[in-house]
Amino acid sequence: MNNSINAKLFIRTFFVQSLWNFERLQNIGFLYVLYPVLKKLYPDKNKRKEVLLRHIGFFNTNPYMANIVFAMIINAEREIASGRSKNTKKPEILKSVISGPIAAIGDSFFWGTWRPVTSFVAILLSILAINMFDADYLWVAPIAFIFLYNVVHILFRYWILFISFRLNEQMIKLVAKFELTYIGDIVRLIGLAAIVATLYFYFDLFGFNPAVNIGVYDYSIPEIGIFGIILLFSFLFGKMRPVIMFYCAILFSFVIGYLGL
Amino acid sequence: MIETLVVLSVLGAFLSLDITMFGQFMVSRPIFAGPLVGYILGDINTGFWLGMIVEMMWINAIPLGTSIPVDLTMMTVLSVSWSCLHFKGSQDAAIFALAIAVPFAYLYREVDIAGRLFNTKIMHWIEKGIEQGKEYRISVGLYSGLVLFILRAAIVYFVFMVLGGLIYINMAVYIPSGLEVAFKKAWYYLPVFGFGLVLYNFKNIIGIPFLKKKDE
Repeated sequence: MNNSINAKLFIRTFFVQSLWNFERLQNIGFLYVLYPVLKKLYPDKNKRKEVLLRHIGFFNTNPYMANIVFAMIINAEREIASGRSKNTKKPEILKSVISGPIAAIGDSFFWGTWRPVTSFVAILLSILAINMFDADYLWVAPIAFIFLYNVVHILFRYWILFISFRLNEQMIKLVAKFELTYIGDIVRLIGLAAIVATLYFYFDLFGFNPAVNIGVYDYSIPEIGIFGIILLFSFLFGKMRPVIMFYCAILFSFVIGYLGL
Repeated sequence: MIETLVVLSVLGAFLSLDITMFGQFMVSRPIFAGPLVGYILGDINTGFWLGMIVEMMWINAIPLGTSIPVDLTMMTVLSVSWSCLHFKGSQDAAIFALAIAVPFAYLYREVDIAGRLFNTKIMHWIEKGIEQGKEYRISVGLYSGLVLFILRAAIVYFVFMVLGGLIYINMAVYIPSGLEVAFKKAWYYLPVFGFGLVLYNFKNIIGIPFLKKKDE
């Protein structure tokens, strides 16, 4: 494949979820990504129709990890188009076998780890900015988040697409060996350190306001104590739906505000 | 004012596009969308703070399989817009705006589901086209899905911004002082609730057994 098709292929991978539907999920996105390659591999329109209809079935995986599937399907289609393989069912089987496991790896690393950690690093930067520069440099946080997240995300998408062409089915072994889950644990530890640091700076910045009198004789609770109670509550009831937690927090603030009056 | 609302609606629609439809560059995340809208409206501080609260409290809202999460971008853009346009710099008004924006974002999820159901119809139109040798329908169908999404989202953003804005302004004037104090407190308490939820999310860390999930 020439550079222009490679570039087209890479750009089109960003559209994999563009016509997401409840019946076959990412199927049209999948077809859209492969179309320039299939057009080149099957110049005959009737033959191509057959191939396109073969690929319009259900497809669902993590959008970042989908690049592995694209490369492996293209390799399988190349073999079929050149006559080296007669197994026209292979691409379909590959698609259904690989999509699930790689989606689990991608979801756990990118959605469950990399995104929360990068957003938390950004929050740490902003709390530091408020602490040191009085919010003058708050803009650094969102830019740091987008930069950090996408450096890894875009490079990973590019690398995984083109290395999968070369390694083909060996790519599955590489992904298993690469152990994104292990890297995920390390990234999560970094995230945990960022959370602890943010908590320290946040409590330091806002936690030492005058004590709240809760209305029982002279008894009063310092603001930092209330922060501690909130932190423990939300950690222990983390399973609660966020919307319920949100309105509970408003109600809690109302109670504290009322008692503190 | 109308021009500002139109610009914000189109911006919101393009940001929401990033959630599933195109790219997933995370520009739709509240931690980016909040400060961006705040910056445009001249109050990056409120934008950042509301974005940070939504980001942490809904840390697990991600599109997995067929689940459609609540549109956090809409929640953030609406709340930041309302508070910056009508009560710039007021902490209690900002939290009140967020409390009003939450149901609107959940309502938009239903619109989003309807849109994805319509995508199935486009998908069948493409399939028929391929059978008839009209391969161009793949690109046309996909792009029309994107355009429809942007139009739908921009219209909903605009309607919600106007309607919700009216509800917000009219209710904000009559907020009792006790509730005002509560919202002021919530400005500082909500991020702490968020920290707890993030910690809960991170509890399956290797090497810290007491923090590990029970099912592991």
